[in-house]
Amino acid sequence: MKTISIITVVTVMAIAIAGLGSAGTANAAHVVAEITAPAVLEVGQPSELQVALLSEDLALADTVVTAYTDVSFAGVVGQIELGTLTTDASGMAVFEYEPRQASSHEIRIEFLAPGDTEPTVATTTVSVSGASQLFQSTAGVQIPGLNVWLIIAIVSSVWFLLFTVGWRVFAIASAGPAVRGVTS
Amino acid sequence: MEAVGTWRERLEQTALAPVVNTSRWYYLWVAFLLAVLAWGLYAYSVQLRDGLIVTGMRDRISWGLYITTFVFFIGISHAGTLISAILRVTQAGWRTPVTRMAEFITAVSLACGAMFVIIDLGRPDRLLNVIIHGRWQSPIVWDVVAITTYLTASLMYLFLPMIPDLALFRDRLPGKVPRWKLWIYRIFSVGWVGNNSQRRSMASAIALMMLLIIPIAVSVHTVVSWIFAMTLREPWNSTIFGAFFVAGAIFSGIAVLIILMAVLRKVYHLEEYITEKHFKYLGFLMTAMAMIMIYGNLSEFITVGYKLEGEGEFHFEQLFLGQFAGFYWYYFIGGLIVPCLLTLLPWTRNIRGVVLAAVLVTVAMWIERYFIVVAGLRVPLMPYEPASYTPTWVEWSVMAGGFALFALLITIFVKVFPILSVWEIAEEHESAEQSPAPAPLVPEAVAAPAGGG
Repeated sequence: MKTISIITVVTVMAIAIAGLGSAGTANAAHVVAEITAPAVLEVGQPSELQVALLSEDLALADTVVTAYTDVSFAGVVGQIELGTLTTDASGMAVFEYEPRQASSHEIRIEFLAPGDTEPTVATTTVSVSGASQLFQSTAGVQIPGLNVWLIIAIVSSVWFLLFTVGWRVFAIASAGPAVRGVTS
Repeated sequence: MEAVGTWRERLEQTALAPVVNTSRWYYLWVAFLLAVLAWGLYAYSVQLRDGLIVTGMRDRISWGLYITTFVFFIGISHAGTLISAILRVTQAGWRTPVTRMAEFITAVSLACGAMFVIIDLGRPDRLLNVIIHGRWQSPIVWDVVAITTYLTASLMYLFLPMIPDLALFRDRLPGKVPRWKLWIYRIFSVGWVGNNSQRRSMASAIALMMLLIIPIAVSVHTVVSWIFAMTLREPWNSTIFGAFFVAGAIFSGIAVLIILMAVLRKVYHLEEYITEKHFKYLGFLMTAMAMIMIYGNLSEFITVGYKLEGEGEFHFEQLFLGQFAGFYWYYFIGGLIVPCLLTLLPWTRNIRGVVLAAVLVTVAMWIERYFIVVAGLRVPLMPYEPASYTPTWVEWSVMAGGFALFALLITIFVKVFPILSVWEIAEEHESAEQSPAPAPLVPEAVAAPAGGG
């Protein structure tokens, strides 16, 4: 298992600035987010993404975490949501993840740490191997022999017959007088 | 009884006359068509410059006049298939004077129809992507393959029976027409002198083509229908769309052929060869197809209307009572029922009556294609207000340009190539002369062309 630890500085600037401007102590939090993904990811293979949140070395429970990944489809690049979970008592949230495309993907999580007003963002990159694109599972009834090759065979046969006819035009020409432009 | 030689000479002179003689009206007609075509090209240049935003098409009604006209042109291309191939297979001898015109229509309308698909593209420079990135599973790719095959086959089927007539022109027109025309006749007559070997090769080639082109033609319009029927749209969700399209195609093809026959008969004095009999027979065929169309319409509306689930109610409402009602009832009554009456009632069963019926059918069938495309797309997929579509001046102009191109190509074809299939008419005439009591529909052997032209 490859463990990617991202120490996210959760000193939320807005709070700090607000703290500096007010009398009293600063209300800063320090949260460590760990995203763990399998070392080998295959297109179409279900896997798990584990997110662990620690605050001051203690598990951060009951925190809502949302995970996203980047996708591209029909030339459009964007992000889709993998899901939203709440961390358990051990500060863990486990997302089901089934990669759809082979390449390097960015996984992004967002959560709102206690006392924060802005979400914290953490990212990691995973590498997915396998087929280039996972399409939907095959639909319909698969009849042996009824496929694109049948179409190609029919079209080829028709064009072969057309060439046969064309060849007969050459036969007409070759059966005529050899002298060019001769009249009957 | 008139000598065969004299009759043949008169036939040849009639066939040669359009190529040799050109009236002032011809140039005026060509100038008019060129003017309309130029206006259409200007409108298309506006579309190319500013994009499809200059049309009335938007995201929800994304097909309009262009695809309507595409389907219409592909439909009338069935004229050649029916007259030339089906009647040739069934050995209907009366077809011979009109086969060439039918084949002209097929080749020209296919070219014009395919052009409208390209016009409908916002980025025609990406046309080759259909080939490069196309998938065999896509009806669009089937369409491209089917139309390309049909166009090739139609050109061959137009060319093959024309060879002896081109040889006739090659031999009879030196000194009477420009050199470039003689060059065309010499090249495309492929050294025809009418010897036995050449006749055998041509007879077998025509026999193969007439058997091949019928399933190709049927497949083309079936595949065109699948562009619609394989899309998740309630009004297109029909299993009989393919059969409906083929029937409608033959129906409109006959109508356009009748109109062209009437025009060319009048302009080039073909009264001796294109007689009232030809109009009546084609009128009967058109009526038969009209009855199939009526049956298809009623069958579809009753089965869908009885259940009336989904968006069917909205579609029926807009067709029968709403936005499209006026045109719909013209289509059904004026385009299907009235033409049947005109061709069947004894006092209108004449050239004028049949031509009038053909005009009504032609207009009605274009409108029917418009219903399929626009009314079909107008049915909302989700509960929102239906979209609206109003063609802009650009679309009307481009469409007018397309029809002008169709007429122009026919006009030029007639001026360069043999308008009548001389050898086939002669064969039929000689066969009738030798027959003691010729029936109206005389079976004939697979015709072997006369030699030498």
